[in-house]
Amino acid sequence: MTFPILNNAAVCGCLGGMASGRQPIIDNANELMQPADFAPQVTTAVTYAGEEVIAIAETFLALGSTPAYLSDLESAPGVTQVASGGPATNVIANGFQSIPAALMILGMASFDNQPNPSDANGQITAAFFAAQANAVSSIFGNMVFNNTPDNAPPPTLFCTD
Amino acid sequence: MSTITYFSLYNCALAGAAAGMLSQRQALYENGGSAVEPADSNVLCATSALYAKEVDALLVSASPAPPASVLDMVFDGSTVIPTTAALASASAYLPVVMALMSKSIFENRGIPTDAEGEVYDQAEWTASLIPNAIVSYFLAFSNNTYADGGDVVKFVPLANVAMGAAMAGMISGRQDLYDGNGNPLAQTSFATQVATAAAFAAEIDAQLVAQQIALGGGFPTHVADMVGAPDWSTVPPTTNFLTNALYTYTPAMGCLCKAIFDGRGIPKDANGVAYVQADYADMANTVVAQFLQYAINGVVVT
Repeated sequence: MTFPILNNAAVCGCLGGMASGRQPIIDNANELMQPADFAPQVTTAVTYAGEEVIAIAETFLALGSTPAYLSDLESAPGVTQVASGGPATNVIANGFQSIPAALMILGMASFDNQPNPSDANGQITAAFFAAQANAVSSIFGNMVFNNTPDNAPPPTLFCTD
Repeated sequence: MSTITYFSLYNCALAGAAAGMLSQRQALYENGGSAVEPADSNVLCATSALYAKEVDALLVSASPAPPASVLDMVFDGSTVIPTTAALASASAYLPVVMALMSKSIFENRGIPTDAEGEVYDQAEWTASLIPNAIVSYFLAFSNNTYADGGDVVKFVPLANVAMGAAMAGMISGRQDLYDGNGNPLAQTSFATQVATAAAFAAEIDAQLVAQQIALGGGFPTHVADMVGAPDWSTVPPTTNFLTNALYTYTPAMGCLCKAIFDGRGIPKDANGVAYVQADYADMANTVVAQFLQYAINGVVVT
């Protein structure tokens, strides 16, 4: 399970957090922003997201299992399930509406007030994001894991339907 | 039998509240120096769940009832599979907007506690009027979204999430819980925010359409595929690519739009008048530029 949609959610949450409250609308040359102006931020976010997906897998490994609510978002490793038609179910539809948004918003909060995260040497590495990714995946795991019938108590948090 | 009605809205209210409570204050380690574990967030998640439960109850009891886009998300105790354009669009933007608005109202509040320093119980959440403020705001938004398949905006889920996210950003860390007359907030309290956010969303859409023309084949394929000919209806997510795109690009546009409004409140011109569409050209340009860089280089659509 490689969670492509969770990877994408982590990237966008990181981007949103880094931009929060300080986003310039012109570049250093006093011109309108272009997509390439954001290449460094996207590179940073992709690096974080790779670590976040690993942290999520490790979190669920430590918890004992990955709930179907999450794992069914893939039809095969690296392939996103369909949300409409085919094998789609109500629970899968709910999962697509809830899970990427949840990971996005938690990641966004984690990066609020961190416009340019880097290590002490100014480097942006996966290892640098390990603790941050773990913190996000821990809360994410708390919300998502408890909904499986086999794992009560503690009480359900997310509703699968 | 679940006591919750609007499942994905509840889930996203929960996640958004927790995100707002820990915004800028996320602990990465326990007090003992070890990495945090899921159980360390039990209090945060449990109180966020009570907030979300109150949000769900207020949506259920809302009078007048929520618009069809909200009502149609669930049927007979289950989330509805998005088989139509309208359902597909709503399923993508409504939960994201709920998450973003919920995050915003908790920014700078942390985890709310009562006079004894304990987290709110259900009754205290009701009395707090925080859920009321968000439900009023959310209904003000959802009652004024752009229709799918119309000719006003083209990228409907992206435009609608832009509108809701802009509204979320306007209240980031600063939302009062009463109106100017000391009454609990109602949908009508937010007419200015709705109107100016709709203008921003229209400008986002216009710039996306302009970029699609300018970039030609360089425009992200899966963004283009979210809406279809001949009437720009949202395409139901019947393939893995369409599913990934709908539930990836919509939250991305949402968080970028919220971010650019954070700290700006309601943008106003030199005469103190809330921005109209033309005033949003520069802000929308930045969001669209960032979004396209993300869509072209930052995602895995498989």
